Amino acid sequence: MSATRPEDQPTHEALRGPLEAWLNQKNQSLLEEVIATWQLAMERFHPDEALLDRLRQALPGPAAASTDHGDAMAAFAGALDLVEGAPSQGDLLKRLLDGLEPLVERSALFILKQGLASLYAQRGFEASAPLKPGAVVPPPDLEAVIQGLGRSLRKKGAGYSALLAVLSPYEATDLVILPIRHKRKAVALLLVDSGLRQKLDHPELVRALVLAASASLGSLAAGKDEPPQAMPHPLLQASASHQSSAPTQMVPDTIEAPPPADLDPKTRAAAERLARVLVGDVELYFPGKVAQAHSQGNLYGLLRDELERSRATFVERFGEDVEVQHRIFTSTVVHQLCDGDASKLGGAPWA
Amino acid sequence: MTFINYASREINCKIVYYGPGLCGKTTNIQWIFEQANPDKRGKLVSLATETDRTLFFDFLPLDMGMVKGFKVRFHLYTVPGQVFYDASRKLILRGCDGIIFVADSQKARMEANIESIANLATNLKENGFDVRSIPYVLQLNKRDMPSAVPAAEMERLLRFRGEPMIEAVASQGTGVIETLKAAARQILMELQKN
Repeated sequence: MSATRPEDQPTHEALRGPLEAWLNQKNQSLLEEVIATWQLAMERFHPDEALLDRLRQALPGPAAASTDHGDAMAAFAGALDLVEGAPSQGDLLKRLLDGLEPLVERSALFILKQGLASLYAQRGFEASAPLKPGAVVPPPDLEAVIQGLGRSLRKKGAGYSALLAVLSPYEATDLVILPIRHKRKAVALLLVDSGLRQKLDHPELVRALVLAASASLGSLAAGKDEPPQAMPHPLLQASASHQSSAPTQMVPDTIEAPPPADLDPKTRAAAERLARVLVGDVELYFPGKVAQAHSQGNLYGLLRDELERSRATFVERFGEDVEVQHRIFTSTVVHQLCDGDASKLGGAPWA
Repeated sequence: MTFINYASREINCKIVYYGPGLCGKTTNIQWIFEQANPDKRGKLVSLATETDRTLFFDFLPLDMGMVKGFKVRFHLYTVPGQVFYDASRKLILRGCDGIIFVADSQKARMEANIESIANLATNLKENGFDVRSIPYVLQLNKRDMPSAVPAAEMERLLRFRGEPMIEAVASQGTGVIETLKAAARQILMELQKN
C-alpha cells in the first residue's frame, strides 16, 4: 500500500502516537549503547606515532589547500566555456556533464518527455547501461521541481530514489537535482550527488552552470548559434561532431520515440481487461467524485491518489513501455470516466 | 495451516473470503457475526476506511463445536478487494486452510471476478498453495440484482475444479451459512486425511 488516502488519516493518526513513543524509546536506548561503546573504545585508544608520522608526510603543502578554491573556479570557467561553445542543444547537454566532471563525483542527465524522465547520459556512476529499463515516473517531490514549485531538490526522498534506481544501487549522502528549463518548461533534469564523499563540494557552482546551460539552450533554440544543418528537435539529437565528450549512454529509445510495436493479442486483451477492472474499481468506490468529474472535469485533481495507484499497478504488471506506447490505461480512464473527453481528465502528468 | 493445540485440545483453522471489490465479502462475515451465538463468536475486527470499505482485513473467530474431543475454532478473514491492495491480500493468505471466493453476479463485474480469481491463483502460489487443491468454495453473491448473470453462465466462466457453488444474497443472509459450512466441511475432511 503506497500513499495515504484522506479517509485513512484518522487511523494513521491513531497509530502514530504509540509507534513514535516506541521508536523514541528504542532510539534512546540505542544511543546510550553507542555512547557507552564509544567511551569504552576511546579509553583503549593510544595514538600510534608511526601512523601519525605517515599522515603528516601524506599531508599536502599549505599552498595546495589555498588553491582549492582557485582550482574549482578554473574548472567552472572551463565548464562555462564548454557549455557556451556548444554547437547544438544535444551537444550542450553532453558538454554540461563533461564540464561538471571536475566539480562533482557523479552526475546524470534525464530528458523529460510526456511527463516521464529518461536517462540521457551519466558520468561517474558504475553502471554502463541503465539498471532498470524504461522511463521514470516522477514522484511528487520531483514533480514539484519539474512544475516549477521549487528551484531544486536537495534532500533524499522518492525523487532521488526513483532516478538513482536507473543508475546505481548506492545512495550518496548529499545531492542536488536541478531542472533545465526552456521557455519556462523543464525539458531535462540534472542529478548530481556526492558519491562516496560526505558532501557536495560546489553545489552553487553546479546551479550556476545549469542556469548557464538553460540560457544557452534558449539561444540555441532561437537559432542564433544553430549550425545550418540543425536537427528538427536538437535537444533530442545526439551530435557526433564533438570528439571530447562522448556520452556514457547514447540517446535512449524513449527520447527518439520508436513506432509502437504491436502487442500480441493475448497480452493486449489481458492489459485491456486489467485497465477496465482498475478503472472500474475507481468508478465503484468513488461514484460521487466520478460524477463530479463527468460534469465539471478535473478528474485527476479529484482522484489523484486512486488514479496514480491504479496506473502504478497497471505499469507494474505490463511495463511502463507498454503504457507509454499503447496508452491502454490512459485511454480506458478517458473512455470510462471522462465520456471520451480527454480534457476532463485534468492535469495528469501521464495523459 | 491448521494449528492444533494438544494442550488445550483446540484446532484453529483459517478461512479467507476472497473476491473483487464490493462483492460482499464483509457482508458475509457480518451476517455470520450477527447470527452466531454470542458465546461462540469472538469480536469482529474490521480495519475499514471512513467509507466502510475494507482497508486491510476483517477478522472473526468462530467456535464450530467439537470434533473428536477437540474444540474447532475457525478464524474468518476477508481481504481488501481493490486490485491495487495486492500486498495486503498476499499477506492475509499466509497460512490459510480454505478459500471462499465471493463472486459478484452483476454483469459489469464479470471481468473483475475473472481478474480476482487469476490474482488468487497467483497469490496462493506465492504462499506455497495450489488453487486446484486447497479447500475452495465458489459463492455467487448478489443473485437478487437485476443485472445478475445466469448461474450457468457464471459457472462456465468462474468454476474451474468442480468446487461447491452456492448462490447467495449475503445482505439477506441467503446462502451465507451454507457457503461457510461447505468450506468447513472440506477443511475438516482435509484435516482428517492428514
